[in-house]
Amino acid sequence: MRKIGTALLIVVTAAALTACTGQNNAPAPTPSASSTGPIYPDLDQFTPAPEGLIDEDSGETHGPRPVPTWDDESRESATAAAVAVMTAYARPDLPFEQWWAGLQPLLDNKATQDYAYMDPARIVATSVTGPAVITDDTSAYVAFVDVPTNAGTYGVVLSRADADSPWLAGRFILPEGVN
Amino acid sequence: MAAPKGSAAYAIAAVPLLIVGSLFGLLLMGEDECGPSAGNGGSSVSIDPASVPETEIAGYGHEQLVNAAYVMQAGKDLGLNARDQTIGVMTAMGESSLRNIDYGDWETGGVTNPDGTRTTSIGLFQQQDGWGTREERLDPYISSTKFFNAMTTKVPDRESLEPTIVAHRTQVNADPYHYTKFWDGAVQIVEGLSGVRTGLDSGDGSASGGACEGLLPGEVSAEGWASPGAGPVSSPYGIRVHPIYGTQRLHAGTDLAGGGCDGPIWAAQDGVVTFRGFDDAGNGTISIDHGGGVTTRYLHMYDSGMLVQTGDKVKAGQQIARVGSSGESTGCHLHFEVRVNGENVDPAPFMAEVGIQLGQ
Repeated sequence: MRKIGTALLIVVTAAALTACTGQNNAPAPTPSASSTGPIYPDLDQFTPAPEGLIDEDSGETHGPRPVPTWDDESRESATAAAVAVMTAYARPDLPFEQWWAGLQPLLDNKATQDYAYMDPARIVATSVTGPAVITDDTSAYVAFVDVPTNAGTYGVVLSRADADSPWLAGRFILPEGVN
Repeated sequence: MAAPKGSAAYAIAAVPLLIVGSLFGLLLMGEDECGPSAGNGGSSVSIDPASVPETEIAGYGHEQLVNAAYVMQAGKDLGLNARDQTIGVMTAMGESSLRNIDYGDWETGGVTNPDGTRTTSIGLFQQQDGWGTREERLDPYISSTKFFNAMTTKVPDRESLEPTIVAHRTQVNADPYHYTKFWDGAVQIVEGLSGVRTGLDSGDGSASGGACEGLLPGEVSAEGWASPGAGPVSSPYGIRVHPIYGTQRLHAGTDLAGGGCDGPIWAAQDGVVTFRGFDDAGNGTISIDHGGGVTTRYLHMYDSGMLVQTGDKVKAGQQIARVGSSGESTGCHLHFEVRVNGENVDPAPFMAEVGIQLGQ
């Protein structure tokens, strides 16, 4: 059941990505490429790395990583994660240390660097006021989610390493005119 | 080609034309100054605020350009380089649109600080009371000097940080990425006013966007895929046996020389960036989901050499990074991985199937 669902979604995702070919800011691709879109090889011909080996670079143990899909569970977890991280962020009343202790575990590596110099007092939102909405689901690893607050609608960019990993926030996109 | 003799006298009469003409002359002259020393922002650039021409750069008019000239002058007098000066101009663009605003958000919108007090931010950098007297904050040169002094104190490691992050850590504004969209115009203004090509890339707001050669597009195969980096292959995919302990480890990707340090790294295929940062072993890593169950990963970049953000949509052959040597690496190279349905495969035969011979 799950395998079939996965296969279907992969086809849909591939089609969606293919459809994007030919948009702007492409760095001058060769003419032959822009007309047809990318060709994917038959994936069955490639042998996956054996399980249990230690990775030379990362030190992690190799094994299957569950590939995420946009099923109901994923959508619910993405919107829930967006509301959770927005709720932790929208606390201008907290001193930095307390604010950061609540927020940082919900941030990805890059956001942990970039939001560590914030003064939470500068944040104008103080509460989530409605349901979160996924606005871009091009990749099942990345979710763009709009979260309504008392200070306008914030965007949150979330990502996950695989289907079993938590959604982490990479960025808060502020409402127009807020800085 | 041969101009009539009378044209010189005519140009002298037309003073504004002459000024614009000399500006372009300087711009052309500056073309030759691009070299290795110009990287990382190079040395200070200067313009006398009193000699700013009646022109428009990046949509900013004379009054705003004069203010930019004060910012540049303050940076120069502190011995800061062109990159720092450009960060100053960018910050003032993001704070005040380069207008010396003499009223605060309280007067216009009743904006208060979190503790209920009236906001008092004024001037090019929208500085509040704590930054200085009202007169100081409304003096473009003095307010710029105060900004730069705060920047050099608060952000000593700024050469390795994106310009917007440098500005954010100085201003402590609400959005670390607020200033990104002003970088392009700031580079144009600094180069246009000074007549010097700084080596800064107006289209590259990354921390390493100071190299003279800008971003390079890669070549895309007939199958629609691109080589991730230049060859040769320095280490192929495969299982390695530790020479002493006899334990097995997987080299899960193909190592490419990639043109050495700062060489261009290209997205192998259209896709969405799903990770940009460091893994637990300190490897600077970018991951891209191409759909169809295929993801690619690019390792060992420095933070400053990662040019895309999580969520960005990239195209095959788009430059996404510069070759580095972070994490488990002893020299600059690109480690390139292909994952199929979540599991690593040998990138060489995979890429060969889509018209790319890795290493060539």
